[in-house]
Amino acid sequence: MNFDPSDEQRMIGDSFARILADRGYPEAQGNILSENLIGGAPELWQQLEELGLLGASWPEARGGSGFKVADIVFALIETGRHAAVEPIAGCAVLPGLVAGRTHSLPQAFQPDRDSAVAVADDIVVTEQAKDGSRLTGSFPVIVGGDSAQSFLVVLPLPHGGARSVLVAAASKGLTVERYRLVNGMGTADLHFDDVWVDAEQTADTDIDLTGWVSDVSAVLWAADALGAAFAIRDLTIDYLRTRHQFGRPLGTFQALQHKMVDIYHEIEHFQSLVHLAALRCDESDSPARQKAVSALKCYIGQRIRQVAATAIQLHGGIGVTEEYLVGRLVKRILVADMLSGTADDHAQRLARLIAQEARVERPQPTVRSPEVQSA
Amino acid sequence: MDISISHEDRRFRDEVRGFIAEALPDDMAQVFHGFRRHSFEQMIRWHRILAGKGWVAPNWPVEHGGTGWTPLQQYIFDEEAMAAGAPRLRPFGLKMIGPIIMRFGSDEQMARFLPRIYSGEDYWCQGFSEPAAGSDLASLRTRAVRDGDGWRINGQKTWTTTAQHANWIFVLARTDPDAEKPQKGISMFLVEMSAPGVDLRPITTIDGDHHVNEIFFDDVFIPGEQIVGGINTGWTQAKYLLSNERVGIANVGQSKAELGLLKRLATLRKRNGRALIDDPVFGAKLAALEADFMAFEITNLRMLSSLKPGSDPGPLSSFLKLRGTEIQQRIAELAMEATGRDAAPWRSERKAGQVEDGYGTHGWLLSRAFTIFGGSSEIMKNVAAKQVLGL
Repeated sequence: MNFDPSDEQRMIGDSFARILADRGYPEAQGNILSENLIGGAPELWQQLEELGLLGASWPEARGGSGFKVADIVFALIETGRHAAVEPIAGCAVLPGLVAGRTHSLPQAFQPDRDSAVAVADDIVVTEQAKDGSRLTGSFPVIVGGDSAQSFLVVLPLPHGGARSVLVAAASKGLTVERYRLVNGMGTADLHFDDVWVDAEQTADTDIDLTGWVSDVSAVLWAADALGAAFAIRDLTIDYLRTRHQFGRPLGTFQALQHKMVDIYHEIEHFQSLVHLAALRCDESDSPARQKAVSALKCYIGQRIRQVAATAIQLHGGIGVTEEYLVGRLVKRILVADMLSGTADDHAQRLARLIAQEARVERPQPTVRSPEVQSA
Repeated sequence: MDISISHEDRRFRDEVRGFIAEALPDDMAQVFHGFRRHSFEQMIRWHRILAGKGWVAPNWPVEHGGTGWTPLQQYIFDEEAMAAGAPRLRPFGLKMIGPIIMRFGSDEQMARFLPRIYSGEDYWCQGFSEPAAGSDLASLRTRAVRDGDGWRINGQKTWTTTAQHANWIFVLARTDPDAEKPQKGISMFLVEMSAPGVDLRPITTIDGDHHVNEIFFDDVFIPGEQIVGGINTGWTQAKYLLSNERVGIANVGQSKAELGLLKRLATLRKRNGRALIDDPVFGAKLAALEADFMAFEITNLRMLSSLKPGSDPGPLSSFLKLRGTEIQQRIAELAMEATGRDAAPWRSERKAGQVEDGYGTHGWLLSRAFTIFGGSSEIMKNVAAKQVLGL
């Protein structure tokens, strides 16, 4: 057991931090957004490509670095800390992770930054022919979907397993509705109206790919929120040290100190869960993965959203301005909270897993059981 | 970053599990799995069984009888013992005064006291808090003055846990009332409970039980060789002890076992015609608690895996105490809710078949003390704000 990041994990985190700082993040986020570049700055993508970071999560056999979820979270911590708006998780990281998880993918699905992955449980196959199939339905909030040229749509199959379908953004019958999230990231809703897909653009796998992709997405957003939380923590401590009222620093007031301690230690526990869930995503035990991811999502909803609110409170008026950085960081936490299942969805799943586990725990010595009906 | 347990530690876990399965008396496992609390007699019996095996003081240096286990292995042992339903050993000798004597005591003190703590022959209690010195420990008033080769102590201690079973007490007393800072004039004494002038009065706590006491010192004579560390250096020793105590108070292994027990209780009890554990409202509360516990467990492992044997746990221990005690309280709270109206009767009025003491209103009431003793949560936050955040 060792919780220190490996050299590679440290390296990928440092590289992302440097590139994002060069672009002016986090202070310049407002200016970057006003450039209104779909998908972010081409120079940034080029830089990531030159350093081999774009394909970091793609398997080595396909020209990537073979980084797993547990490694790549170190990159996402930096996108969050720097409040970057480029859809790095959706368009660079997630496709590679999917390719590392299963070989059963459409041939044409290749490392480039132009594809986004959509877990589409509301999209149905309306026609199945020998040479292809037709899809109908919608999927909302595909982060990075605004700039993607193609989508890897992952559908659950009725008898288990999943189907991956590679669909060009320009396909007939596909409407891509583009907009931004509260955190500034480009996003799209996909509407499929009898979209035809050739058979070679389709591949089936018997693993639960939809569940896995959804859980991994949750972890990627959580890692981004963790980076944002680190930045919020540092900004807030700094503010308490430097801002004076009543002739002394805010940080000398006990009521504020206690709130700051809460922020600090919640983030320590949050960090523990991000790494736990990331490591579980790389293993094959799916109940253990689901449990860790749901615990993480519950934690964001019940604890980290409160951390965000407290950080705003400790800043006073400046904390509720659009201009001040803390608000932009807080919005990343809100996005991580809302995507890939809300805290309530995950509390429900976690409760179900706990109940299953409790029934198969190792047998206990026979004792009289307090089995009494309660009102 | 690697969260998996090493091959060596897995073998260690198997060895520990095997020993406990063999050595833990049935009556102790049954008390725990029957939702009741261990008696003092059971705790001491388990202490002696472990001493016989050589495993009673894993945190001690090997030359004093320690096991040489890593901090992680010590945690694994604790986790296994708690899961099996073993009594939790009390920290006063093994984790408090023992390590103090090793670090600050004389060779004679080590030879005299350590073997008897180890064997369970001596049982210690902690004389720190006073009626006017709780969180503000440094304002303590118990006085020790020179008397020939020794000292005379006068004063009063309070909240002294399990002192009714103890034959020794370690006492903080003021030896220099004129010191520039109150912390500087304090020394630590080792006092026999049978010494003339030591008087004990029980305090009944809100759960109706006798856990704590008041101890009065009326001109008690202490031989000179029973001061530990230097004169007026007691505060350094007390701080060393409190930082150790706070890690112990996090009680991760115990909380894990009790959380398991709570879940089993929820499979046994019914609400609206189904098992309570399948009730969505209760399930949501259990899920929230589980999420907090999982995070806390990993944070504890992060701390343990970064610790070298024998080193100070540092400021992270105050965070672990904060969340650890909160989790213990919430387990007690959900156990009370799970027990429902059957938790309402006062213990002495209960009929057979009802859930016993640890689970119900008594457990909840007792758990209120967890965020008060060993440094209240508010004191923990003061310490962390200063030491960790530099505010």
